Amino acid sequence: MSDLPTILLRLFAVVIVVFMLTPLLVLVLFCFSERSLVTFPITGFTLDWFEKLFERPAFWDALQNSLIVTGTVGVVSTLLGTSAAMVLARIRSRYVGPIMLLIMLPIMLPPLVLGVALLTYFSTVEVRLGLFTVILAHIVFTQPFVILIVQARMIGFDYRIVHGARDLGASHLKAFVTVTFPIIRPTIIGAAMVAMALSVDDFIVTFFTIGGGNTLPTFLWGMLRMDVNPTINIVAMLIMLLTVVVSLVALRVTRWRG
Amino acid sequence: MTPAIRSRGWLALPYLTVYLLVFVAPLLYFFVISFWRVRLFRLMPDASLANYAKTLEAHSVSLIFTFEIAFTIAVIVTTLAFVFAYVVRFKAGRYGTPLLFVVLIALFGGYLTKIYVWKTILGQAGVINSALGLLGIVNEPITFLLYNPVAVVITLSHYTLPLAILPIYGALRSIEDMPLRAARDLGASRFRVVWDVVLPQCRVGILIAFSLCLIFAAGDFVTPLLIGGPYTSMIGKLIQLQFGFHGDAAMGSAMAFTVIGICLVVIFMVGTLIFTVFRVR
Amino acid sequence: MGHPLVRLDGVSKAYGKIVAVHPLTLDIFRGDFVAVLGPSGCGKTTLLNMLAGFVLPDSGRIEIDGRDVSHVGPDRRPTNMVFQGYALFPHMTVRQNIAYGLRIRNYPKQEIDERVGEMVDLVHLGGLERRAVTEISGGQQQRVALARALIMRPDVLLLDEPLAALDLKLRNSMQQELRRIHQSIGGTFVFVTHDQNEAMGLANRIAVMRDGLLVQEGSPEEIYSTPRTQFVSNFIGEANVLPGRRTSGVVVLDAGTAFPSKGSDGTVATVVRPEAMSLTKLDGAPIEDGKVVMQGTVRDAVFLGSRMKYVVEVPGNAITVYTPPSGRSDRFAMDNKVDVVWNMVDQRVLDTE
Repeated sequence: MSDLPTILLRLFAVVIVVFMLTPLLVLVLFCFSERSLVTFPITGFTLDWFEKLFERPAFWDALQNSLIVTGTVGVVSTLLGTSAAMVLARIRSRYVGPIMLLIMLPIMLPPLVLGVALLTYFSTVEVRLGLFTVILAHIVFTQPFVILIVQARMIGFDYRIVHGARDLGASHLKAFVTVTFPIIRPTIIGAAMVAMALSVDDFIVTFFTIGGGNTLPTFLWGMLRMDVNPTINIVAMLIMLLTVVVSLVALRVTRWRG
Repeated sequence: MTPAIRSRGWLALPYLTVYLLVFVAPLLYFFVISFWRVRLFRLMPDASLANYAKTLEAHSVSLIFTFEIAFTIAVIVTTLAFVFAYVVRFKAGRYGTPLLFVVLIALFGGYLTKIYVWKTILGQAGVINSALGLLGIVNEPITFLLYNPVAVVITLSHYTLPLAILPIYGALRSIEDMPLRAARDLGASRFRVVWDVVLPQCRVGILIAFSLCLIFAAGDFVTPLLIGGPYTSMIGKLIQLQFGFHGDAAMGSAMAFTVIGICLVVIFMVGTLIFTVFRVR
Repeated sequence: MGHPLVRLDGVSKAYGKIVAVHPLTLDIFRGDFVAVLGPSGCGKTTLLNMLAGFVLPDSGRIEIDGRDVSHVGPDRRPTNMVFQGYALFPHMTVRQNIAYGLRIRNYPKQEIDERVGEMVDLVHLGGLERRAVTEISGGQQQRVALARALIMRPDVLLLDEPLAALDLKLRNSMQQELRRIHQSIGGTFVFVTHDQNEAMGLANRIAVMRDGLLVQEGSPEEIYSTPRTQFVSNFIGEANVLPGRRTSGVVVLDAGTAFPSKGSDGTVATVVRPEAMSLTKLDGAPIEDGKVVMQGTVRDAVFLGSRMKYVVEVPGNAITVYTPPSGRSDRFAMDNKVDVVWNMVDQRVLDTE
């Protein structure tokens, strides 16, 4: 059997898991609570608050905006990030470290700094704030993750397979489409999912770059500042659900790689 | 090396364009304006350190307070993250994978959502108070849970913990078992093994975890706003105001770069410390 | 002999300051089975990649079937390659792998089916067509790689260390297979290897490379019996290299014997294969004409089943001698004095300066 220190360490891990997960579970629980306050005791369960939320057009607008932003970011960020990672994977290894550092810069800054820097820049070069600027901003901070994930996959990649395709008559593009892409497809889908999870969750950068209008997180922010209303729970949970589901899909397709 | 796969660098062009136009340019411009002035709500080119001087002068209390909190969070979270990652890697056996899975779930789950949840948990009419009242432990709601620095520490720790676990776990994963057994076999205690063999091999992971926590906590403005209450005047809150209420981007920039500068200094010092203490003997 | 199928004319390649292949000229004829043999780093793989089109030469000209392909990419050359480690497409089945080249050229499905069928028969892969290539054995993967390349009916089939990944037993049977396939389709094969046994066992022509230079080229017999340099003699099979000096038509070996040899004065190396030597006790009997004798001491005697291996110490050298196996009683014992004898026709005298 295990000795005392091991048991204590495992106990510690359990406590940490409880600390990490309980708040999220509490939220889900109160989404269905009948009372209008987030307090115990829960006297009964209801779906009324969902109905109340779904009646508000502002919610649907925010959801729509979130889906537009996240969908676009998912596609564009993955395309740009993957093609950059392909180039990076062919660079001699001693240069990769410093280049990686530069690539990671956008996520090494506090999101606040990235947000206000973009806000200042966009207003100076007179780009109208809106979903377009939000999408640009999201591409900037999701890109490092895509590159990191795809580049890690390409490290062990056997390029002889690509040579094989070329030797059998495939052009560069054809070799990528018929051989490289199918092989690394799970990784690319996983990277896209991670980018989307980060995008749909982002509040700070969106807050500074959206101008008017809302995505789900800024909609939630508005509610937090205005109402005391149990529909907040539901918006909060929706954001959580979206990010968790998307990241679960990412884990599933990449089968734990990276 | 060959024409079949020779660096077709143009593939990286779209990425580079976005990186330069939407990241490097904005950041450089943002840095430059920290030396400018704002007159009548307009940015005027200048070359003065006035904004920095004013930052250090007017916001020194806030800066010190911010970094006290951020440093506390970074130390606590990095420590917890190391122990947790250690358990996942060495002590959890087949439960390692599910534990890691929990971390990845917790990593996402919504930034604003988490802050909001802690607000409801810690609030006066919140989850803890109502549960305690229901159990008859307290008659009056405890008010000291929310709107104070401790609440900020708890909330931000909860948010950054998964972020800190992953790089440390990544470093621990590449440590091999055999040298650890060899160390035990040569007479090292369990603790000595961790200190002499494990920690020196995951210094980089630990420093990355620490840096992520510090930078994030020092730059956050939502948590102090929603959880910290009026007396938790963290610098992020003040920076954000420069872009809304005060409309002084130059000042905001100087404040932001001051925060980044202090972060770099702290990270450099902590890094030096980590690399000296856990050096490979 | 007619016109060569492949003509390499002054082809060279350097990576930065490192010269992988010095200007090299080589002709390959239709139906040849050519081995490019040499140690790792000798430039043989670069040479193969230049033939395939993966590496473009810095200088010179590559002609296949009269057409200049020096700057044609691998996808538009009449060559196909069996890669080291096979480089099969892991996400495809055996059949999909074999059909790949025809499929991306949009051949009609019926023709693809037909030709895949032929290939499957040729390399004996019947029944495995629908299996994933990741779940078949190494030998079977080798056959898939072969079929995938041969289905394109290349003018030249290139093979990069084709047998290196297989264990000894498979390697021998695969050698036979390759010979059978080469004969049955009558194609032209070029393969690179560092294993002289492989080269000897497969090729009808061997090109030996060293440090980016083509050192010698010829039939296996020529290369083995008349190596042009000491390197070739050492690389192709075992050889005893005896240093010596030639003065006015007489070579005096350092090991203490002499024989007539035409050529200029200077240092020489005399190369004799171990199996061309024999051990006797002359006890002062006269030597026959055309033979060379050297005295030595037996330092090691090993029974190897099909033959005996002796190591004989001669002044300043230790030489290896293979003799037919003999009964226990007539073996030469350790530390015995013996006479090492060989025919002068079996030796090669190489000028070393």
